[in-house]
Amino acid sequence: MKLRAPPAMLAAFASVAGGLIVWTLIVRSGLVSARFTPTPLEIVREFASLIYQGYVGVPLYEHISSSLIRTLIGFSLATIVGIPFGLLIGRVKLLEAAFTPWFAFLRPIPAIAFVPLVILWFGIGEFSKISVIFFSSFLYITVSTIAGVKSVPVQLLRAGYSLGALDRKSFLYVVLPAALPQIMVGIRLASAISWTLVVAAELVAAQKGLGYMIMDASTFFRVKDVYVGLIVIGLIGFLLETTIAAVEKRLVHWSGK
Amino acid sequence: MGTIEITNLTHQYLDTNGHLITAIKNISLSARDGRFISIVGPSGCGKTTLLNIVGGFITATSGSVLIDGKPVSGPGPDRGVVFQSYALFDWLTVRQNIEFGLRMAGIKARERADRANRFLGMVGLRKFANRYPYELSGGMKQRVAIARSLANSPKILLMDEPFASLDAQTRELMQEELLKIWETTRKTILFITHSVDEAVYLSSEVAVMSYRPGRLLRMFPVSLPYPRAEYSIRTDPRFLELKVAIHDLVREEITKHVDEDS
Repeated sequence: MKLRAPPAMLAAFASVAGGLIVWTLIVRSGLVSARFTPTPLEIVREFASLIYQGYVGVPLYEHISSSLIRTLIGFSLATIVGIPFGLLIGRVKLLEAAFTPWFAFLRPIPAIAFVPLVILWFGIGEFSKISVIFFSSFLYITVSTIAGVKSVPVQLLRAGYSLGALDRKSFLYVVLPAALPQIMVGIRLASAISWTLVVAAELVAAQKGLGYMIMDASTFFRVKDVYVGLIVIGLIGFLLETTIAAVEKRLVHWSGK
Repeated sequence: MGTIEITNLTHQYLDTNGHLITAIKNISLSARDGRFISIVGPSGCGKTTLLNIVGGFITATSGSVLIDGKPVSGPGPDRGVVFQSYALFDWLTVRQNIEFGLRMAGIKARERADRANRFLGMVGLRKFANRYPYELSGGMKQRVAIARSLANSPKILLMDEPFASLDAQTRELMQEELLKIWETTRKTILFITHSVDEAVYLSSEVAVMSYRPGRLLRMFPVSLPYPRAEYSIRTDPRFLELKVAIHDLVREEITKHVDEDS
């Protein structure tokens, strides 16, 4: 265990506090238009009012929860389907050869670019948003699972064989745990992408959700609400990331050591 | 029981450029039960290929390997392996690593624990039973790997340069420990090494292989008595004599190859 160095914490705190003060001063001095840039304090007040009164009649938590639910459904489905799929492809050379060109082509396309097409196909309902999230998370999780399976050292497999871990047992007790650190990397990436994507999809087409909220707020010049939305999106993204990082650290504690 | 009977073993493969490489050629070698046989030879002589064939990890192009009279058809729990890279299961504790083979065999938890305790004691790692491999030094990791193989009660132990990545002091300690373990368990051991000193110190016989294609040049019986760990065998004139003889033969092989290249 390492104690966190107090100077580092102090520096972080000072940086945030200083930044907020500078921000306030700039707005107050009139260097930037106060119309488009509220001060931090105003944003906090607006945040409170959104919590108590909601955004245009819809409580803030409803926007948050619709974004979160979409993300979690798409992302969880991608995990459930992507890991077994990746394990299979990673094991069977012919399958890998067959799928690689598809992954190689599809993965570099920013998932957001699929949104218009998906809306054409499935309309603007929940299904279209969830399917975009599912699709891009699935690509990341599958590809990193394949990489995980393929990176298992041959001597580890052989050590397993000679201890009686053959065929299915080898897969279950050697390949899967050995690939887990890589799989977790894919899951972490996919969760970040899912969250980005839900907001993007909601900007384009939604009646609820944080993405919808900031788009709507900007259309009607509710500038403070745009800022609040951004901050909430940031905080939730940060929470998602730390949660998954914590799970990862516990689950694959040996990784990188 | 644990006899190895290798007859006319040849192995060829295509390298990445499509050239046919003969890794080993016409090797015949037999190890009676309870023997400690080391294989030395220049780099790239196919020592590891030979061990992988005996282990059942690769199939030879021609020739046969019999274990107690039965042909090898794949890896199996009768042959334990220890690699230079330790190949421990990082996600399992030391104890769980040692119990791994027993778990695969469906042995009950109580018996697994008993056997693991015995081998934890044998390699002096009782205190580290609940640690993870990444918390251990190289020497300790290799002890775990050895205990893991032994706990599975193999007839034969195949060791591929197990001490090559350890520092000199640890290496000597590990050699002594391996000797003690072998002297008490009397497993048949096939031991690959670069070090002539290590080979002579440990083995009852030392096999010298030629440069690629690896052939068996000569078998040297090591007539020094066991137990060896207790006395200063390394200064025994017979030890030195044998070491020089083997060393010269290996060196001759390497020099020949260098001449071929230039």
